[in-house]
Amino acid sequence: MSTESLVNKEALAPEEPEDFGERWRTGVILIIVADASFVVALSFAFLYLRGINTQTSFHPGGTGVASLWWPWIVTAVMFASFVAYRFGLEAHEPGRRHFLNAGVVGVGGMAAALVLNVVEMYRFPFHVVDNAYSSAVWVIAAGNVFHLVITVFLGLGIVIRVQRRVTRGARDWHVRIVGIWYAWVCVAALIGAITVTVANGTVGCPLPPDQPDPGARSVLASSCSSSTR
Amino acid sequence: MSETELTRKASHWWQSEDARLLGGLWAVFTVLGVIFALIVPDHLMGRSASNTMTEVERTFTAFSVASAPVAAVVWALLVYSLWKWRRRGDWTPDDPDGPPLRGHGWATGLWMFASSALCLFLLVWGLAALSSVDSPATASTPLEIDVTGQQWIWTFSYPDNGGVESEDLYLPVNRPVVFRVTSDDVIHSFWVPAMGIKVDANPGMTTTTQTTPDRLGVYHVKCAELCGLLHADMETDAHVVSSADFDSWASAQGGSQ
Amino acid sequence: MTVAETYKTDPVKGGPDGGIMRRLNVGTGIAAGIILAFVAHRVVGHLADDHVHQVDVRATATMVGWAIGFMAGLGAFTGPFRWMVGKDLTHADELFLAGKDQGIGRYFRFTTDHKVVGIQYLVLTMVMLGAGGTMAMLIRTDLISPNSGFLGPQTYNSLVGLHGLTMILATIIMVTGPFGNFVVPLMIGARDMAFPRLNALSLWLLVAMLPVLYSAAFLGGIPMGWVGYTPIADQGPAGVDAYMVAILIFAVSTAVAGANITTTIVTMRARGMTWTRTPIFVYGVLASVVLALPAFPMFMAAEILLLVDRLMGGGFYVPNRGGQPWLYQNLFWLMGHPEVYVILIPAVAALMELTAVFARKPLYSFRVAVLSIIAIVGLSVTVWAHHMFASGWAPDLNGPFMLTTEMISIPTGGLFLVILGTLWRGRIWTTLPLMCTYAMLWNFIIGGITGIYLSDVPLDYQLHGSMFVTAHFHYTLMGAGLTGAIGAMAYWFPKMTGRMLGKTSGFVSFWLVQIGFNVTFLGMFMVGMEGQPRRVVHYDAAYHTGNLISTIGAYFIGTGMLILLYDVIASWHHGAVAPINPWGAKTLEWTVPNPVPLENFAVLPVVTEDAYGYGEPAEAEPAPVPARVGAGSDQGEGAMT
Repeated sequence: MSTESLVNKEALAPEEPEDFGERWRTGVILIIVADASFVVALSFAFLYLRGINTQTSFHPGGTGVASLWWPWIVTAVMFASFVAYRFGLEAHEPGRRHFLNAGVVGVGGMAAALVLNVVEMYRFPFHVVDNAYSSAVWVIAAGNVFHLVITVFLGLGIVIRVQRRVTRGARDWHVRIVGIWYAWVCVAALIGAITVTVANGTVGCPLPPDQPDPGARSVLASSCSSSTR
Repeated sequence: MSETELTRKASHWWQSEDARLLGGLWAVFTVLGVIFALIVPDHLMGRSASNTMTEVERTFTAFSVASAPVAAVVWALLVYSLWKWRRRGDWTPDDPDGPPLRGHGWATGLWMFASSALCLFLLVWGLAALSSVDSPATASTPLEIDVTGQQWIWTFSYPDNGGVESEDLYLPVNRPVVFRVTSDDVIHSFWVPAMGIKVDANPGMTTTTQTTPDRLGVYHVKCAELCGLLHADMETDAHVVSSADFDSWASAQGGSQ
Repeated sequence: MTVAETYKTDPVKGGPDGGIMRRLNVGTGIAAGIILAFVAHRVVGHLADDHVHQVDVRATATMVGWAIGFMAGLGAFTGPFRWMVGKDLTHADELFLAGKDQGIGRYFRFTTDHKVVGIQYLVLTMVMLGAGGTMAMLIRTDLISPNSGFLGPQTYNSLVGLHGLTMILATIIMVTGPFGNFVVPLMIGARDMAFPRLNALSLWLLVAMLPVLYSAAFLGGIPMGWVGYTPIADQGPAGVDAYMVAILIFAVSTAVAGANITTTIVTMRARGMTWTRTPIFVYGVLASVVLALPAFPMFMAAEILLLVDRLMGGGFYVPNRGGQPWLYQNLFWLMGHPEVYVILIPAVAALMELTAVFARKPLYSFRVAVLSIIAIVGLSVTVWAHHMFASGWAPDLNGPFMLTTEMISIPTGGLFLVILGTLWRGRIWTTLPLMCTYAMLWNFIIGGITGIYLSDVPLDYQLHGSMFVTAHFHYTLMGAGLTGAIGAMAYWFPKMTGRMLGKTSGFVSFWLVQIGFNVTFLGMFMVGMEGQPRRVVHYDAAYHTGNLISTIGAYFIGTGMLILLYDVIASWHHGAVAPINPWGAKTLEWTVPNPVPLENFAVLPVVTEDAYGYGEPAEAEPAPVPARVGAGSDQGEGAMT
């Protein structure tokens, strides 16, 4: 138990863990609200810059377009990790072993997503300095890395605590609240993936044949007109 | 309109002493406020040099006159409450409390209605003024001038006069003019106070503002957005001259008419 | 194992008591911060040696290193790391963290008791206001004559920006920090905030932020105003990096504090304190942090994108690479407008709270007060682009934003109605707190009306970027906001310090500040309408009179605030000892003894009516009554609304 033992301790009856849980859950949801605002701001930045296309330089042709597979693969791995974690949570018989395995799978999956995300950023066919498009895609990916680092920390903590029997049951409120965070980072990754996908339809043009572009999605020539450049 | 509660003494609210004194105080403050509103803003903002500025000064005065009764209500209540209901000395627990008025009367509704009506008035006036300022109906084709801000000077170029460039702004009187404004580096703001026009100068974009100067004279052009070290020095002059003088100026600069 | 048992957590087994945590304090924090800053400076300087933006990268890394080192040296991370490895803090640790039996030393470490954090916030606020005020005096001194030459343009521009940011940050925390922390848990009948460790974290982050912010002065200053518009922010020296890192730290602190305060108010009100019995000050604080939670991350995003531009050469705000300065402005003002209500609402709510006490009447139309606050919060997120009328970013949207902005005047007027109605036919005791209410009403009517002018687009074209705007927002943020904070401080001083604030000095300071304030900023309205732009180190001779008047007024303000500072310090030290309830107020914080015990209430109160029952016949007991809770009574449900 943490500082809650000092808080609102009635003279004789200790407070029910459900009250702590409600309190912690409210707090985490509020932190998520702040974080969601940040994620929305990044998404807005990307879409606004694409919309206004200052000096037609948001993404002039000839520079790389990020592959769309990567963000969706990372998002899928994250969702799978969340499902594994939740599977442990939701287990009808909250046996510690059952949850522990699912918890390990969950945090392992998030760690894998983190690695994939970093690899994705290495494989971007552009540099962050190239133009507003590349900067924005880079920042959205970096934001996801930041989320995953926190997620791995929290997931590791839960697994260690269950292993050491400090957190008892699969339905312990620590476990549930980390589950809420897992769900949120998946949603954030989804928002990032959707933003980049939706916007990708009109950015980028096929590079000249003598400049192969590994990892770039090839764009239909018909969708490229000089006026969108 | 004054704001009162149902009193125990008078059968009608307008007969109560509070209401009368307060109403009197409110009337005095309103009159003072209206006088202030009719004189001071116009005096401070100076004589208008364009149709836009005339509209600006008219709006300012109208809003000030409309605000005077509102401010007067607050001031009247402040003054009256201190004069009538103030207790001297220090509070002790034996002192009785005031009446338990929780405010479920009609005063609240009246207040909300009045403020909404005032808001509506401001809005309608504002939209009308905005459309006349942003999209004025002009008889003749406007003169186009390109304005470029850079750290820390203004440059004006006249495409209609063969691309004449100048660091002073010359304008023919009574002819509508459209300014296309941009910047070479950071954000500046093109402002001619006497004409009531302002628009930011953004790098990589062009913004516009327009007006019709209607008084001869020399006026300031200033920068209204902090743009670095010499922001305070980024000023030049706007010369409003007759059409003939404008044409001769343009020719003298090497341009066409 | 039953279902109920699965919900129980084990008592802590793993962690030993204390250890390193008990030796950490602000001194170890500073030491660790300096060490980590130095290490970051060397390491990153080496790694980024050939980088184009080397200076900025190194400066940013140093400042981030300082902040992390400071927090680590203070012990802020012990909790999370012990959680992760399963060795939670013991009960004895928690008592230690709460400052039990530590005397004055508890103010210099990572103490979780909300009363300690409240006092720490008060001192921090006073330091920041002092720093910002000193900068203001320098600025006004330079402007005493058209071309005084007192300050060079670079120094002047930096001072203007740092003054602005210091004051904005100080006014954001000045009511919710000290009084949201000290008073609100008492007022709602709780023993502490929901997350006491996060409480300490949010405070100490601000302490970490201060050296970062003021290092800007040594790093070339900042060339832009406090708003930090690009591209000029792109151009600036490393001082801009200090500005950005300070804001990032502040944003984290605010998000954490916001979650803490909201959770506390929503889940920890005393039994019987339904929303209709919750004091209006609690509503004000809640509204402020609920608004801040989604707003400040927008600011954070704007600065992070700027950081990417400055440190990595990104293209977010660079037009020839598809970037757009208007993006910055939008993100900034999405925060910037809600932020002024974050500042204003708690101050006005505190004044509403104390006006009822000093008029000895119920708060007039409590429902209107609550609905007005909610309406202001809701509308404030729809008006942000009125700061951008003259930017040219979207001329077609000027009309709609004018509409939403003017609509805010309606709920704002509702707040006036509540205060004026409370004064109506009251028995008015003109203590310093109540005089602050009067001053606020005077100042805010001027500030509000001038805001109406600015909300009208054609008028804004003329007035934007001029001293008129400066005068308007000082009238609202300082005339209403700071005045409200001073009133709140004078009101709660006896409970927070156990002493009464000296009356004579208080009144002298009040009149000097308020008269000086009005003289100063009426002079600014004058020169703004005459055509003087903002943020200029010198000006046309035609504006001399107004500026001279403003500077003289500013010296009055400075003198008055110094007298107030003296009054606070002297009274704290040897003022008259305060009784438990010197004002005869009815809210819960006035039922606890001075000094307030660690656990606040011996027995948590049960509330049966609201705190505004002045003049109403007391039938059984006046509210709220601490419940006599017997040994066997059932309190297990912890039922909160």
